[in-house]
Amino acid sequence: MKPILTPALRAWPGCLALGLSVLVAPCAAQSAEGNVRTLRFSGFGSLGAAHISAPADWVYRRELSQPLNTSSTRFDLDTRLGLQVNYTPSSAFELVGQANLRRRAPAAPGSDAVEWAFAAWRPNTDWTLRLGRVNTDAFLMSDYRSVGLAYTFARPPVEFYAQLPASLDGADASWVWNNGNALWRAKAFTGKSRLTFDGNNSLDLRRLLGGMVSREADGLLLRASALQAQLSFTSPDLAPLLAGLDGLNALPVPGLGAQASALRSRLTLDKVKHTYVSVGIRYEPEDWLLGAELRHVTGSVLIKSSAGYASVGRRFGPVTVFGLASRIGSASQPAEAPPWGVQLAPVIGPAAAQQVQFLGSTAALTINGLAPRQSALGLGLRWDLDHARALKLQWDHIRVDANGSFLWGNGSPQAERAQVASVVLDFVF
Amino acid sequence: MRTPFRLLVLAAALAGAAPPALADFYIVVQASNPQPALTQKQAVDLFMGRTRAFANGEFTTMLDLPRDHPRRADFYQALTGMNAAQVTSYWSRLMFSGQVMPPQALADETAVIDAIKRNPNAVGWLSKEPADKQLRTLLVIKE
Repeated sequence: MKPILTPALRAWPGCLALGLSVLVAPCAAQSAEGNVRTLRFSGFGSLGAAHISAPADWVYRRELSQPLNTSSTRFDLDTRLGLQVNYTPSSAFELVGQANLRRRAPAAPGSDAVEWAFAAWRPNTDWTLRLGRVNTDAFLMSDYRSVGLAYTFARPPVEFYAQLPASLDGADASWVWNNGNALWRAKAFTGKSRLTFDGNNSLDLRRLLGGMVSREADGLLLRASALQAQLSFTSPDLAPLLAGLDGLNALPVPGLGAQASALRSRLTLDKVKHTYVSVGIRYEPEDWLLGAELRHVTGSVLIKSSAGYASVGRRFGPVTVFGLASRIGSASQPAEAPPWGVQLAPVIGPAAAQQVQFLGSTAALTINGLAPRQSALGLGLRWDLDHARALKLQWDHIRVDANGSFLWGNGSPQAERAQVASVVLDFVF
Repeated sequence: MRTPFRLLVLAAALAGAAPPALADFYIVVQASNPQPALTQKQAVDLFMGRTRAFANGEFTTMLDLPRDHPRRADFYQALTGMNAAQVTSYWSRLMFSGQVMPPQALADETAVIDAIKRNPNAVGWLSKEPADKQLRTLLVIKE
């Protein structure tokens, strides 16, 4: 389906907040109350290098939106720059714009670089309503997954976060309250989101509606969230394959059309309702850092999956040593290539039957390439060089199950193992 | 002449090697601010963005000193038990997710005093007890 809006129009939320901020900058840099500024600029970034030992042409990605870079030494995996502007003319009103500059898939629209662009209104001290480009705040690190200094690891666990939606064009409302020693937060959000990956492929989330509640006290954060959305999978790359499967209905072979339709249904997704449910915990007693998160997605077989991770870290002065284990499993059973070549040879001849067999084998291969099944173990350290910079070293061992390479670019069906060694310098300013 | 000079050098070296004296921090507002005092938890909630308001519901304007100010790390260590890197990491999660901005850093303590005198809802911290009658201390944090 062709997008109706041009990239320029799709960038409206970013233009709105950034544009307004720039317009008001000259006259509103300082409030009337002395030297308290109403306009604030800040930023964050990461400089990363990673060496990846994986099967030839396999591309490791921390987000599906990353380009298919087949180099074994990569500088684009973790490197990014974030620039933020906050315009706060009063305590009740705020405009926020944030650009996140990093390498993305070539087909990704330029507006994807706008991470946040919203107007916030605080009718009182407990409530905040935001309109514009916000975030699907459905997972522990959703809101700050690009801000390396905010977390211990080199990157959020890939098995958990790589394929999750990020930006949300819509609105959210949050409520914060204290109960005894505990700080509670509740949030509801709605809108639409899009994930562009592997060239022209995209996953659209429409009619997205979600909620989150968290409780934080004495270093313990507990959090639960759920979201529901209509998912559509758009893949121009798959169009010839789908047309070929449709064409098999015309062949006078009993059962062939049904088999082709069954394969086709596992390759398409059109406004199918899905539900994401997630729970997370972060506990930081003294110098220990513990964290875990689980999520489950229900809906189509294509997307249905479960994922989780657990981490442990220990601070020794400015150095934190950590370990991390993560896993994702798909509910999609591996597809078998149908024996159409043998079945059809007497009917349409061996040459044509071979072509149909190729079609069926390709469909099965593609279905199996859309399922994520992998686990990872990571070890590393974070060294806080000063109050605004941290150097991280991390080593990951990844085990990809057979027919489970979806998180990789150019993956293939066989089970494989891979190693990733990373050096990342995170900073804020 | 040589002996007194050596003693002077020794005294200077000892003075340099001695641990810095512990000092208090003063959380201050404008004298007209109706907030009577703060508990340590309330101060943590305000300076760490967990609440935006005084007890009477008025929005606060939180003020800070620059990240490289020599006393800032000690202030947050005394207030929250977190070191400077932990404080920055904590704020990175909040400010870059559009939730809440950290207290605004002004150039020095004089600028903080000046801003508080002009803004009845401003809250800041000082490393010396304010002598100015237009300011009032809500809480003394022991280092």
